[in-house]
Amino acid sequence: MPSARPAPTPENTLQRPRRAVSSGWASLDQALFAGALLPRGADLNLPGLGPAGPDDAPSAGSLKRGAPSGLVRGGVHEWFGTGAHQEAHAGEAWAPPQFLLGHLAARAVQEASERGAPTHVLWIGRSVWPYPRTLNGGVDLAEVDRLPSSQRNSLSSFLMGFDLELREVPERFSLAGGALFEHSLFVDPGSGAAQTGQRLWAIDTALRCPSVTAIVADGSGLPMAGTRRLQLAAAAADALVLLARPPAEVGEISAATTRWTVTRIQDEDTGATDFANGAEAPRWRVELLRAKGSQGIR
Amino acid sequence: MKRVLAVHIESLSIDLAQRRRARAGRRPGAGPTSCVLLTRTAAGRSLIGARCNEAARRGVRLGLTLAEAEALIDPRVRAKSGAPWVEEVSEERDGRALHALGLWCIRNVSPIVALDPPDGLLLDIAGTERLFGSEEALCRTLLKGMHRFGLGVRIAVTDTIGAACALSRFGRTPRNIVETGLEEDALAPLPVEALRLPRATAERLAELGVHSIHQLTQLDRNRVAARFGGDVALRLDQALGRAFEPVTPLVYETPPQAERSFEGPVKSLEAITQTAEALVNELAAELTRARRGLTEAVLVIAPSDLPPRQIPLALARPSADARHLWNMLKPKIETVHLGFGVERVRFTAVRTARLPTRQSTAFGDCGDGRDSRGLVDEGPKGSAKKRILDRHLGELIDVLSARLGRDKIVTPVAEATHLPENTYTWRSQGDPRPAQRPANPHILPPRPSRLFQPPETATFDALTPTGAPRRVRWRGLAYRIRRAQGPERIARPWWEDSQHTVRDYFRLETACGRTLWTYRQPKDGRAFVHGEWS
Repeated sequence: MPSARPAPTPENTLQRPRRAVSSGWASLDQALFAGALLPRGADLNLPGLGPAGPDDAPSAGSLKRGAPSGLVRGGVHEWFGTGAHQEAHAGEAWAPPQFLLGHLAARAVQEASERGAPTHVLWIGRSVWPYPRTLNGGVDLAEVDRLPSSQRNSLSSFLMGFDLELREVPERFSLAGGALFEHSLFVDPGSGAAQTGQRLWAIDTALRCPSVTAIVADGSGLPMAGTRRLQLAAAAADALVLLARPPAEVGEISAATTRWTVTRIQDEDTGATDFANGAEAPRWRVELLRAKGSQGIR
Repeated sequence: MKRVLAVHIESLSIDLAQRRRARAGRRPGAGPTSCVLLTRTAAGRSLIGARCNEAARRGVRLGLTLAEAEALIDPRVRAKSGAPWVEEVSEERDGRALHALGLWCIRNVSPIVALDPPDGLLLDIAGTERLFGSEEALCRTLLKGMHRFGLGVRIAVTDTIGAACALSRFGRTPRNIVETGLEEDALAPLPVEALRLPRATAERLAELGVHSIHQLTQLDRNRVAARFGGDVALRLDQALGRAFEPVTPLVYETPPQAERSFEGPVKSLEAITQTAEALVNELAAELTRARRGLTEAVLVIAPSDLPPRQIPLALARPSADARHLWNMLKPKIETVHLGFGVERVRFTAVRTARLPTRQSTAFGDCGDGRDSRGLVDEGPKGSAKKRILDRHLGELIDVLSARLGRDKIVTPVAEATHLPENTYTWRSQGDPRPAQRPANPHILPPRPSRLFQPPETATFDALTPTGAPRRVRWRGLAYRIRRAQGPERIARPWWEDSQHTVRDYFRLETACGRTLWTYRQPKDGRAFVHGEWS
C-alpha cells in the first residue's frame, strides 16, 4: 500500500502548491495507520521511533518514519477541532471533524472486516452524529501536503502534520463501499455538562461489547480520570476510540494515546482574496500534538 | 348445575368504530365527525355494511353505496359537525375485540368464558354470583363494565345456553334473569328465530303459521323432526335443557411470574434488591426450561402505603439471561420510592418469545470454544459467529436503552426525497423496518457532514447575479465569502407544500476556511445556513 510519493523539499513545502498525491486515501492512511491499524503495543517499539533526533525540526523523512505511532487499535485518540486556528472567531461553536472521523471509522470497519473481526461502529453524542450521507461514501479524504514541523501554527509544536482535502468520488469507489452506513449505530446520551457522566458510561459500556470495533464519541468536558478509564477499557477491548473535543480543551490533560488538532485553512494560508464562483474542495490541516510512547519534539 | 350468562353486543362493529372515532377525535388537530359509516366492498363498490343510529336517522340504509349515503347527510350538518367517519368492516378486528372482551370477563366476572361469534359471549357463572352478592349485582357489574367500554349489550341468565342466547337477543328487557325451571315460560313468547335456526327453516315455519316458540312446543315432536329436520328439535331441546350443548371455553394464559411477599414492610433497599434479583433468576430459569425468552417484563414493587410501583423492561431481542435482565433492572430499582416499606415484589414476563439459540451470559464466554469476543477460533461457521455478534450487539442496545431510553439508540433510514432534512429518518431499535442503503437512484450532489436542524437564519449581503452573497452574517459573526457554488434549487413536492417554498442552495467558502451550505428562499428573500462541511 505504500505509495511512491516524492519527498518534499524545503522549497515546495514552503510554497505549498496544491499538489495531489497519486493514490488518494492510501497515502493518508499510510500517514495515519502505516498501511493498517496497528495492533496494540506495536507503537512502542517501532523502528524510527526513538528519542527525537538532535535536530529540533526534523526532516520530512523522519516524520514519515515516526508516523506509525499514529492510530492504534486499543487506544483513545483525541481530535480537537475544527475551529479556526487563529482566535478570530473565538465565540464560534466547535464542530467535530466529521469527514475525518467518518473516514477513520470506515477505515476501521474495512480493516476489521479484512481481519474477520466485528465491524460495528457506535456514534455516541449527538454532536458527533454526521449527516448520514457522510457514511454512505461518495467522498474521500486525500493528503495533499505534509508539513515540516518548522511550519507552526498557534499551537507551539506538533509531531507531524499534513493538509487534507475532501474529494468527491463515485460512490462505488469510496472507502469500504459505504459499508459504514450499515454498521453504524447512533447513541444519544444527552448533551450538556450534566450528562458527561452518562456519556462516559455509554462509551464505557459500548467498549465492553465484543461486537464493537470503533467508537466515535463526543469527548467534550471529559475529565482526566474519564479518559484514563476509557484508555484502559479500549486497551482491554482492542477497539478504536475516537474522541472529538472542542479546540478550547487542548490545554486539558488527558490519558489519550494520541492527540490531534484539525484546523481550517484560512485565506492567509492560501493567499486568495477575491470572490469567485465555483467551488474548491474543503481542506483541513491535521497536526499530531502528542503520541504516547514517542517523545514530543519541542 | 349450570348457570349461563349470555352477553349479546347489539352493534359490536359500530360501537368499536365509535371508540376509534372518539380516540381519533381527541388527537390534536382532528376535526369533528358527524356519524359512523362502515363499508363493505362488493363488486368494486363500497356498500354500507353498518351505520350508527345518527346515520340511520338520516335515512342511511344498509346496502346503499357510500356515495349515496354521504349525499344523504345534510351539507349544513356536514359543515357544522364534520364529514362522516368511514371505515371498512373488518370481521377480524371485531373478532380480536371480542377475544379481548372475553379475557376481560375472565378477569372480572367468571373464570369460564366462551366466545359466541360474531357478537356474543357465554359465561358460566355458577357459584361466582356469591362474590358479587347476587346474580342481579353480577349483572350490574358486567353491564357497567361494558358501558364503560362504550358497548351496548343485552344479557340473559338462565340454566341453558340456548335459552340464554335466545333471551339475550330477543328478550324484552336488556337484562333477563330466569329462575331455574322457568325457561319454558320465558321462551314461550319469543319468535322461533331465537332458537338459532337456519333462516330457511325459520321462514318455512313462518309460512305454516308457526311464529313463536310456544306454538312450536305445541306441535308433535316427531312430526316436527320429520318435516323440518332434526335441527329444530335439537335446538329446542338445548334451549329447554333436555340436550347437552358443548362449548369451548377461552383459555386464559397467566404470564409466567415470580413473586415474594415479606412478613411485614421491608425498608432495606438491599433486601429488596436481593429479593428482586432472586425473582429474576427464578423466572429466567423457568423461561430457559421452556426455551423461551422475554421481550417485555414488569417488576412490581408494592409498598405498604403507596400504590404498587411498576418498573417496565423492554428488550430488543428475547432473552432469558438472568444477568443481562438484572443489569438492566438494577439501576431502575434504586430510583423507586419505597414509602414506609415494601410488602411484595413481583416479576412478570408480560410477553415472551421463543429463544432462537442457547443463551449464555452477557458479553461473556459462549461456552463452546468461542472466546470472549464471540469469535469462533477456526472453522467456516460464519453464520454462527454472526449470530453471536448480533446477540452481543442486541444486549448492548438493551443495556443502553434501559438507561437512556429506547428512542436514544437509532440507525438512519434513507427515504426517497430530495429535501435534505427528510432524506434520512432515524429509526429506533425494535422498529421492524430494516436498515437500508438509499433507494434513491440519483447520485446526490455533494452534501455537508453536518445539518443544522432547524436551519439557522442568516443574512446575505452584496448578492452576485446568481444570487450568491459576498458577505454572510450568521450567529452574530460576519463572514467574507471567497467562493460560491450554486444555486442548486430544491423544492418541496407541490402536493405537500401549499406555500410553494423553493430553496436555492449555495455552497459558500468563507475567508476563514469554513464551507457552509446555505439557502435563500427567492419568494421572501430569507436566507438560512443549513449545514457545514466539517
